[in-house]
Amino acid sequence: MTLRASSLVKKMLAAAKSELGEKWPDVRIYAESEARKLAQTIVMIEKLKATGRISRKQADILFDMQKQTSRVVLLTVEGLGLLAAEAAVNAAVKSIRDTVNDAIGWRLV
Amino acid sequence: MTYPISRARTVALFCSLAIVLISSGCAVQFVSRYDETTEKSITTIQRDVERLFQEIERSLGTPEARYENYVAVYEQLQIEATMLNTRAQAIDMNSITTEQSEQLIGWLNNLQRLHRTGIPAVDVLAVTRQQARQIFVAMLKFELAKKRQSDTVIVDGR
Repeated sequence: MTLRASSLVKKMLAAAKSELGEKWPDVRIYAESEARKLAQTIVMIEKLKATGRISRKQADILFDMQKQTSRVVLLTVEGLGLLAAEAAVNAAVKSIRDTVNDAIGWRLV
Repeated sequence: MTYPISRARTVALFCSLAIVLISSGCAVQFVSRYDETTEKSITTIQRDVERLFQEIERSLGTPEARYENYVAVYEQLQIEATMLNTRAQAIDMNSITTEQSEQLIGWLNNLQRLHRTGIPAVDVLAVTRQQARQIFVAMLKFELAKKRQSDTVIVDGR
């Protein structure tokens, strides 16, 4: 059986969507991108195996490397989210700083 | 660009932290500030990995591409990545960069194992090179975002 990247991506995304529930819209773009790369690597491994150009050990290593790559990418996405939340909170507090400090008479905020 | 933090979680985070902020009088911080040495370390490792790929690609299919000729290069890369990881661990609120550097160490270890078994095809070399670029772009993107945030904090005088 020949694997097709598009079918693999479709299956992976359906599973991820079901697992993530309401968080799905937030991560969809990244999940799609990483699922596509994983699927491409799997399809390449299948082609190399079919022509006897890759061993089981090499296939395992290569797939593990793709998962490690995805983890690094998704960690950046998580980090950017935290930075955005940090900036939002600080901007909100800054917006009330003068009002609060003037009213209280201390530099509270 | 959207980020993977749900609205409910963000609102809850916002409310609880606003209380902390007002009571403490200082800016909130979820992630470590920018560290120039970390950024330089990532760039150095990227340069060395890219050079490794160029050399292997140029000599693929010849005895020059054999793993035995690159043992010292892999050892140097592991040292650089371990130093990056140690520094990341030593910085407060830096768990994301720490985890990324751990993944990088694992990825470099796998690249070394793959080379030891003999690079199976040009396609594999291209895929692993692409993976390396994704890893370094992601890590640098996060460090530069920290830099932008740090600059904002300095401008605000906090």
